[in-house]
Amino acid sequence: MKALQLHYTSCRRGQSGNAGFQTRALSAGIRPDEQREIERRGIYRPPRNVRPDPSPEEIARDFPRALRFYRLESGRLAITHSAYVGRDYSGRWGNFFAHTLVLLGDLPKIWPIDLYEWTGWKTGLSPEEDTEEAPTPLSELDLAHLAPAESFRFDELRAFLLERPERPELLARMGRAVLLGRESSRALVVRDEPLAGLYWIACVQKLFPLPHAIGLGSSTYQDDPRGSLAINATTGETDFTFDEAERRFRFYEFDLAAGNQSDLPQAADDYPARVARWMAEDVERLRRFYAFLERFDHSEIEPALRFALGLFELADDGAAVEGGDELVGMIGFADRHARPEARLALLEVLGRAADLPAGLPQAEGYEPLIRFLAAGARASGRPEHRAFAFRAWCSLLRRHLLSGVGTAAAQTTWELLAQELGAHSAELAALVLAEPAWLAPGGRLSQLPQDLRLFLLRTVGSCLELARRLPVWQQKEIESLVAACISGNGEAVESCHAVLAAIPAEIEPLFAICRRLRDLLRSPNRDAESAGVAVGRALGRVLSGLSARQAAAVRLRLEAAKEWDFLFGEWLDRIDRAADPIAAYADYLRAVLTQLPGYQAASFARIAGSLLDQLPEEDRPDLALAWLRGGEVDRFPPDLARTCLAHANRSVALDPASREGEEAARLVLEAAGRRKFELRPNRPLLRKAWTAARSPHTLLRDLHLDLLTGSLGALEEGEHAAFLQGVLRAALERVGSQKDHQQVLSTLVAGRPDLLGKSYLTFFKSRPKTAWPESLHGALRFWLAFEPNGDEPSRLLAPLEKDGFKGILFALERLAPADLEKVKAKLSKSRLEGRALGRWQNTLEDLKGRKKNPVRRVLGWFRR
Amino acid sequence: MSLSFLPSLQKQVCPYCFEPYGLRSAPFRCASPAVRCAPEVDAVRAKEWGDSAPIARVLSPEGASRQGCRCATCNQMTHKRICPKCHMDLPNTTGKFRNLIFAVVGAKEAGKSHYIAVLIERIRAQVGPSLDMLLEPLDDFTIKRYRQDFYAPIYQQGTVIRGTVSALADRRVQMPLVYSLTFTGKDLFGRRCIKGLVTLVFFDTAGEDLDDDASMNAVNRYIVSADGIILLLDPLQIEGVRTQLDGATPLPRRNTETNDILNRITRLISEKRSLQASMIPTPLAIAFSKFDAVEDLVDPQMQLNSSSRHQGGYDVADFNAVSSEMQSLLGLWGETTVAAQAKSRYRHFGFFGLTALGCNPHGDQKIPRVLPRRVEDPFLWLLHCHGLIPAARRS
Repeated sequence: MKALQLHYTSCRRGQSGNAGFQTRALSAGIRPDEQREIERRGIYRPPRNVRPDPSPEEIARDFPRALRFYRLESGRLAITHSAYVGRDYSGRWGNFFAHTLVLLGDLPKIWPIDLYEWTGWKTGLSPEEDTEEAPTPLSELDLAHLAPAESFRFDELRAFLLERPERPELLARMGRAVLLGRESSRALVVRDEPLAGLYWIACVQKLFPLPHAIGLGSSTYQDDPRGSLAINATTGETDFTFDEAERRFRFYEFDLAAGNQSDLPQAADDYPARVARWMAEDVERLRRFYAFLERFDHSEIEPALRFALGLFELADDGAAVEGGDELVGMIGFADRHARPEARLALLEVLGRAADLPAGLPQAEGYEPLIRFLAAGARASGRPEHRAFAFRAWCSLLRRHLLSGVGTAAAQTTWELLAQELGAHSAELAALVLAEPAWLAPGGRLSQLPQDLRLFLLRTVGSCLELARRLPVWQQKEIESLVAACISGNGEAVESCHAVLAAIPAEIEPLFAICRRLRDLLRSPNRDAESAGVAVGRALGRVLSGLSARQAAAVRLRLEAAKEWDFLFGEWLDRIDRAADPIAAYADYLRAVLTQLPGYQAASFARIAGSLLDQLPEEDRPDLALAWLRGGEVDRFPPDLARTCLAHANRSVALDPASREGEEAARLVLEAAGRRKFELRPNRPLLRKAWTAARSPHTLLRDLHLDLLTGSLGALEEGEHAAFLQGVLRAALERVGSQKDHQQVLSTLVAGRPDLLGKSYLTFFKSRPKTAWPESLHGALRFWLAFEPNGDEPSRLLAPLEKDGFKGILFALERLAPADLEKVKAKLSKSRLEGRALGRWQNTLEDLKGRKKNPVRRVLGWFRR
Repeated sequence: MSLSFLPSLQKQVCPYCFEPYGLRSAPFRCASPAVRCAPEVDAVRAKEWGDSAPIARVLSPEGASRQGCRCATCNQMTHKRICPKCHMDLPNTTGKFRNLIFAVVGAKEAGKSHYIAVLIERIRAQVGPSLDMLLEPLDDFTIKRYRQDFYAPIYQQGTVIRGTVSALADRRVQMPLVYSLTFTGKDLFGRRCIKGLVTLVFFDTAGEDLDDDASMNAVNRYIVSADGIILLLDPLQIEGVRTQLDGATPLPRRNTETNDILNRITRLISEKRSLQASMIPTPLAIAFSKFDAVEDLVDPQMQLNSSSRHQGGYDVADFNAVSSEMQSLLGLWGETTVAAQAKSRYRHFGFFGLTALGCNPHGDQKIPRVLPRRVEDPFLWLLHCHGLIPAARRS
């Protein structure tokens, strides 16, 4: 490995061309930004309590050398060795010499502290070197043959730790501080005698394996808190205050000079505690552990290192595997970081975990275990290794799945096993099917969450297939699981759908499970048909997710087995969920019914009835008329046929202006005639009357008023009003006598005199061909003679009396005086008496009064 | 004092990173003890100052009042402002009183650190009381640094101060010494009162950091914002002096960059303040340090040889005499460049001769006794230029 060099000191001439503190010389290849950073890292201020004018011996003894190991922002590793020099060229005190190596690659297999005793460190300039001449660039160094420092071998560190009984525990606490410092950004600072500080740094560095220690910045002497690295030693009086605030919040301080320490959690068995113990008591073991860790791709200083320790103890000592979170952590660590050669070695160690009686505490813990075991088993190809992985899954099944938890972990690991060891799935299937839970009485399976039951159904199905136990979906295990799946309180269709969705979307599994579900759903409260329809609904949802071809194949299988209820259930579910039932029906007709003639013949009436029920009221007549037109109604049972006819009747338009109504009226009349079905209202007949009223050549009897009474009463008010508007005037114009006038009114009133009153006035307001036709005269005579308390028809018309006289006055007012005289003369021939005469005179008085009204007179001119 | 709110409306300059900022944009730092409000890593401070240890929380200035801000975590009110750019704690007088930044510059071995050490002690102990001024450190860092790095070596250990490392390498050198200077007097009714208060910021500069433009730009930007510059020159570097002394006094090694420093400072200020075609308004005190070493070359009748007496104000007559004498001495010694540079570029300048230690410690680096003379003159002259000290004697 090669390294670049940089020298920083106060000298007569350096890189600035002037005298003073500066980089004196450096190797080509160190960038300016790196140079700035190295200059900052190399700064050395001696402790304040040392002599300001020390002798060389005092410098060697009291002025600690600072070996700082750090990673530059450029990413390269650098080691700076700063040593106090004393006076500079000008005689001023305070000079130091910082020699930095910038590593071109990783450190050789030594800890950074091992470089402390490297003989290549330059610690000052001789007077011959410190001249006004420009310094020559420094060469690149070859560090390939660096040897670990003798003073910091494990045995030396052990001796240092054993010098005082409290030191191993102190080291553990320092290690703990380093771990915590990664999160809290609090650096470790140890204040002790210079030599002891050096050893503490060596111990803390070697508390971690080499790849980890490389990530730890360290300084064997630090005087400026601001530039602190992860682990620092200091001595005497520096800029560290070692006050409570610093100790509690800014750094993890071990002020061994004053006996103060930062608070740290106690742990007897964490990574630092165990490794510190080994460093003090069993160095060989520590070496073996570091060798063991070389099999892992892990260099992060983190608490998870304790899992590496755990793995080492299992592998090295053959310790018994214990479950719990510790084992889960070890498995996770091995899964994430073990290199291939380590995986094989750990297979058997961790494979033992698969057979632990209590299993792992959390279902999620099985995921890394099974991943690890499966990958190892695939790599080794050995059946006993496969058995580890498969048994681990069965352990997950027994310990967690059958207790209702761990579905996600089970699904993931099942897929993982299929991926890694798919060729040997039959071995796993045999293990899974051997579980007694599938056939165990007591409904344990039914207590599980639904998603878990469904997963198990799928899984057991796969296992049966792998075990060639056919037909798979009729095996007892499956029946047991299906029964468990629908045993809850959930809605039957939903439960069935979940089951059907969980199994393969193929004909035979769906067919078999549908039948099984129907059998399970049958109960005293639910007959086979109802159960079948419910299953059919669930099946429909599954079919809707399949391709048209797959769905058609399933339906053909159901038709062949005459499973009409399943098919009808599918239809019901489809129509229930359709936004446009008519479109859904059209689609169903095309895609299903025409493909399944047997089913259509058997179930069309059910389908039609359900569709009618489902449709909005206003859409039913058109569909019923269509079925009437197409002849489907003839195949319906009588009740459904009558319902259809009633709906079709509503599609007959009363107004003759609607031409479509003619065909509808004909069809409805014919069908009603054939089936001797009484239409109410008889809309074809009403339409016929309205049509006749519009013709000028028809007579009153052609209107068949005698047949209309019941139908009019059955009409909606709006339709009745429209009918009166179209028919009343025409009918009244066809009658001249007082009696006929009454008959027309009595027929058409149909219990709604208010509706009749509005249309009745139009009769008086319409302009006749003659000034005073017979129809008006009949009306005049009817109302003059009207007895509201008379017979029944009279009482029905009593509410019209006011409108009647109002119309008469309107008609009389329109007459010229000569015509009015003619009316009087004609009426006098009728010899009016009593009440009628009185009414006539009152009418004439009212007429006279209206004519005097100036407004009415003006209006009268316009009318005339 | 009635207009004491005015500084808060002005742009401030951070005494650490020298970036200008508005006081309203300056965040606060929680003032609670760490026990009550857990510190956290200040990423800005870590980046700017390499201080990644947890420190009291930074509180946004948004929604805070002019005076203070309440910590959302501990609900404690704080008045401690920090620089928006570098997150260093600002002096607690920021925004309340006028800040005066005084730069002490000079070549290596010119005696800058010694000058600051003695100047502060002189003002604190002697000059201040006689002029009704009180000099007090404004933060713990100033107290500690002055005591450890300046006072202790000279006054307690009797040795010279160690060479100052470049601020490029040692960020601690960039930390200023911050003091408040309180002026007291009597009001119209004869009662004692505070008549004024300013914040004084002293920078000790490593000579190496004045050796090239790049270093000046990087770590000495405060010179641009300085309200006064004390340029210390070592008379023993003047060729004429070295010739005349001719072994009578131990001489320091020749320092060729001495003459370039004023030029470099002038260029820096001119460029940064766009004053290439104008006179620089910053008062420049050109002070020849170590004057005791050249006493033999100076006429004993000269004012320079006597101690200054600033009673009741700044002795302007003394200043005029000393400055003139100093200029004529420079002429005699053949050093005319500095005077020419000052006259042509600076609106206010003065020449001074002083000694901080009163002895030449070359050789054993020991200071048997500190006997300063005229150390306070440049400083008082700068205060006088800013109208903080009245003229006591004009002629």
